[in-house]
Amino acid sequence: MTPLTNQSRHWLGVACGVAAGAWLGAAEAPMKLVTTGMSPFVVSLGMVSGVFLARFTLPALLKGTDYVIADVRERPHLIVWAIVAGMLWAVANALTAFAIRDVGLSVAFPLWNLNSLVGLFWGWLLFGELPVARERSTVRVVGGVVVLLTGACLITWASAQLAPSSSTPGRAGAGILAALGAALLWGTMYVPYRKSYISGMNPLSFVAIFTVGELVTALALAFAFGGGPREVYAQLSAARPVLFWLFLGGFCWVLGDLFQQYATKYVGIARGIPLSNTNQLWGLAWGVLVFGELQGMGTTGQVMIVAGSALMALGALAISLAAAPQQELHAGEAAVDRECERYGLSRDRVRASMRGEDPLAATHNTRRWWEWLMAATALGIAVWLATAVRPLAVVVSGAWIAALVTVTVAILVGSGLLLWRRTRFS
Amino acid sequence: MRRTTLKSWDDARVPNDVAPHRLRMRRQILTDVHLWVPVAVLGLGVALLWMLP
Repeated sequence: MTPLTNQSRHWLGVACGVAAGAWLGAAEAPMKLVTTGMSPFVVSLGMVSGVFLARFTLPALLKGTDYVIADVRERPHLIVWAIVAGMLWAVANALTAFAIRDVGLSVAFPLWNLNSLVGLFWGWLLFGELPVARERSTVRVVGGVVVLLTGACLITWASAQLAPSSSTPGRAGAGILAALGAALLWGTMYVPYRKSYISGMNPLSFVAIFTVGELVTALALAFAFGGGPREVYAQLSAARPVLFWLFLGGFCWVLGDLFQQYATKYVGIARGIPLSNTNQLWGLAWGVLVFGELQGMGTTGQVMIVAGSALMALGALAISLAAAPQQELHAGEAAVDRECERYGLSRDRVRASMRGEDPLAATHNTRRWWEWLMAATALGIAVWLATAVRPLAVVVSGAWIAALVTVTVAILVGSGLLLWRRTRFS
Repeated sequence: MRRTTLKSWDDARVPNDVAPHRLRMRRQILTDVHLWVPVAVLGLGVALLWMLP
């Protein structure tokens, strides 16, 4: 396998960022079918349970349990970071529930989308990304993020024109604080991601640990805010007919998140997060085309939606074209050296991993029977949940479902094949 | 019953030889700013959750 050049590594990361946006956006589609008035914490728990299953099954199928265990044992210090990252995700997710309750989605969404600016700051401060302010690529990334955020604001405000106001009077300050908190937590969550990858860990191994912190925290929050274990169990049991959709949403989310992890590995935080944040565009496409949302919107609203979408695409394009210059690559190598020196890692192995090679796969490629058992169990649970699904009173467009599924699956296959051919999912 | 030989006693001492490495690793983790940044932010998030409802 040929090692990745700087240019091919950049384009691989961009492809992963685009795929992340598509699949994180697609994850919103099954969630739109869940309108039972469940507590948002129980909805989150249902989704995280699906995520938990997928996060163990996919790494086991793609790389094998031997590989994942060996990878973690080679860098045991990263277990702490992976668990903290999972906890950050779950707490941020809970904060968004409060933000939506207090100020409504139209205000909350653009606020927590500021996570790309937070990530940009940490990438610059901790990992030597975008080291030269006047460098063309820095201008492209920062400009792209600002344009992308402006587009996101336009879309959210236009969408909010049709939605009934869901804000709680007198709690605007608390809601804004909750949304800003979510932005801070989600932007900071990428610090452990990036740290793991500049230590040579495989994203598939990282997510297997990450999900433990994620599930335990989501469970604790559901118990704390959902009325205790009995109440949570009762709500989950009553929601069985829609649990399949939560699981499906969780599964799509895992696929998107995996691509997001690879984007963070190959293009860093500053470029990876904003590219993944294009999920809003995909969520909009599913909402408008499949579920007929925004019907009856006035001309101003439609113009705002089109302009917002164009701005988001433009921002993503600017970031995609901002390949890291030589000085930034040197700063990245210095960040790798710091990790190797601090934690006694092999520089050669870590650098090989950053070039898309997989030194660990040469010695740990044994497949075990229980990996297939894990996959069969996950599939069995999905089928069991699917049997409880009842016909929904939601009008959807079958033709648009087919079109969007075709496009997102094509992106999955294209980006997945690219990752496999160039890196063997390293 | 397993007999304790001099060799197995020596083997049992191996973790002690490894201990300085583990101790160093623990110290490196606890003094790493890359850990304290996310942990501090997590603390802030939990405090916010505590105050909000």
